[in-house]
Amino acid sequence: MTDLIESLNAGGTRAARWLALIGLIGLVGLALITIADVLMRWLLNSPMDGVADLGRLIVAVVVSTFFPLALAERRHISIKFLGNAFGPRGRAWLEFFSALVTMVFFTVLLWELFKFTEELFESGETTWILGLPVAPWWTAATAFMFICLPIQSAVLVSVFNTALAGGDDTPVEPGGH
Amino acid sequence: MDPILIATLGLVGMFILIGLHVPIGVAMATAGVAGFGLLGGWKPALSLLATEPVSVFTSLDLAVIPLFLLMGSFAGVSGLSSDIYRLAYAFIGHRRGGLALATIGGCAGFGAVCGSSLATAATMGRVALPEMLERGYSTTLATGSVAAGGTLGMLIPPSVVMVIYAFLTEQFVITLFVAALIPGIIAIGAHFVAINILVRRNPDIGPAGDRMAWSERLRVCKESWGVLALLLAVIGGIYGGVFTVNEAASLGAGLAFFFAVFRRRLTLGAFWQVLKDTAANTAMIYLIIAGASVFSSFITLSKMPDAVVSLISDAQLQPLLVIFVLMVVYLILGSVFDTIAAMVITLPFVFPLILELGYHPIWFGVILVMIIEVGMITPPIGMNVFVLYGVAENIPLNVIFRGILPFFYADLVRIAIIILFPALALWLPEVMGYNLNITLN
Repeated sequence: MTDLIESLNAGGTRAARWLALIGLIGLVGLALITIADVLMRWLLNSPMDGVADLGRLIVAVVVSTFFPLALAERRHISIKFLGNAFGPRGRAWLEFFSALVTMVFFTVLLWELFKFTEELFESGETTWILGLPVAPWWTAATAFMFICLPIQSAVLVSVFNTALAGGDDTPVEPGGH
Repeated sequence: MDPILIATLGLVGMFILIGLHVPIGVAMATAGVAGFGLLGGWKPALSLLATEPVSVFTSLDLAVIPLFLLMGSFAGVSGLSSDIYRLAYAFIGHRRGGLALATIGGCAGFGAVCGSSLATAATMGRVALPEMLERGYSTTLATGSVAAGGTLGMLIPPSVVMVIYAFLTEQFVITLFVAALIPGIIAIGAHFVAINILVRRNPDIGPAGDRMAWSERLRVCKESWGVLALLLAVIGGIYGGVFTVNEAASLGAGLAFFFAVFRRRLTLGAFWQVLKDTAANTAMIYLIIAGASVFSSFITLSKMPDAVVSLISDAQLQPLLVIFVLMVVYLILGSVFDTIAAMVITLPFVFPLILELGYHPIWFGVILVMIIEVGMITPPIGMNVFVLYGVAENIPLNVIFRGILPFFYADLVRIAIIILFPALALWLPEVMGYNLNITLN
């Protein structure tokens, strides 16, 4: 059982890494477009149209690819005073509670994002200058964000197992990420 | 139910969730949705979970955050931190406490190409700390200068925290960057003075190094062309009005990547580390901003900020006294909370109060970053201290905290100076022609 959970976690982390790589490529793409705009403005006195339009769409997709990795790596801004005071078992149950609330939050968030994307398809919204349809970009962003659910589920099962086993002895940084 | 009571319950609920280890962004969003649901109905409350994250994800102002984080990660991998430290050492290393002075200078320089206090403390800790200890510096001075110098990463533009402040208060980030320049220089000066006083009182804690010949200094400058080029492109570009902040961030990320490849430092392992750091830190920051936006909508709907403003106005307190109390609160918050968290949790209440008292939001942004920055080295948490504790092997936490104390006092003095003389922050943007008209959200 423990092996299965560990391999699920490892698989989730691998998938999240490759997804974040797509995001990184997108981020580099955004940087290149911005630099190209600067060069066009300088050298040819002719800035590119719609860089902001495209930038807004790209950055939404880029950011959405980063969330699964943060969840898989359990990187959060949180305060962990109480856990250290409660000892390994108490800390483990607090971690389980935190993972559970995070799971519920991402489920509701994704449902709302799904509805938002659906509305974008219905309204046929486009960007101001380039007239690009917005819905496909948000479909990609929402789809990438959906990967958070299986990853957080694996995290949840893993921390639940740790809590059942009585927690581990490693103290956490009180203000740790 | 009374909206103020609901807002108070929402605030208490948020703190309880945070206390129970829930990520701060998630806790803020959960409390925000629950409170908004009670005040304005559940359907609009739930839809906040789409509208607020969407506006955060699509913000071009915030897009500089992943770009600056990427630049900082590549700059760290390509060894630019060592270059900047060597450069600072070449010019001031021969003085008593010279290595500590060079560490402060190096931290300020690296902060300018990195934008994060934690990354600056971690990177400079690896570079400067072993060097100082090897040359007989006391552990208190060595660790104190790295931990305190690391905080400059947040104040010296470009700063991720300033980008978030500008976004949440609807200010121009470039004006904030320009406003932070003189306070940043004062901060470096204050740390220099602290080191000088320490080594004058006890010369053994920071022995002087050898003076470098000018030919040698020139060689170091030549070898450090990479970091100088990056500084010139990013800082020079922003301050010179050549680039927007987004353009400078894009160019900076591109240049730092180029140096990492050119110097053959970008191994596969280093690349995955850069990817992991950039992705995870970006997601963490975006989550907390999205959560803060949801929470802020709830607090605004409850009209609690108006009630706080009325309460303070009715009490007819001196504005300076209110600022003093706020600074004490931020110092306590900064020592317990993460810096970004301390800022985003309090801004919905504090920002309207600052405007009501007649203070300038740009000035307050600089003050806020400075005081939160001091929180990074204040016990019991002081994140910079923990980062350094991880880097420095076998140096107890109490030694690091003892080393920080003189810098802590120096920080309090320079913050008092900026509070008493707001022109130190507002003069430069004004003469450079940046818009200082107050924009309200």
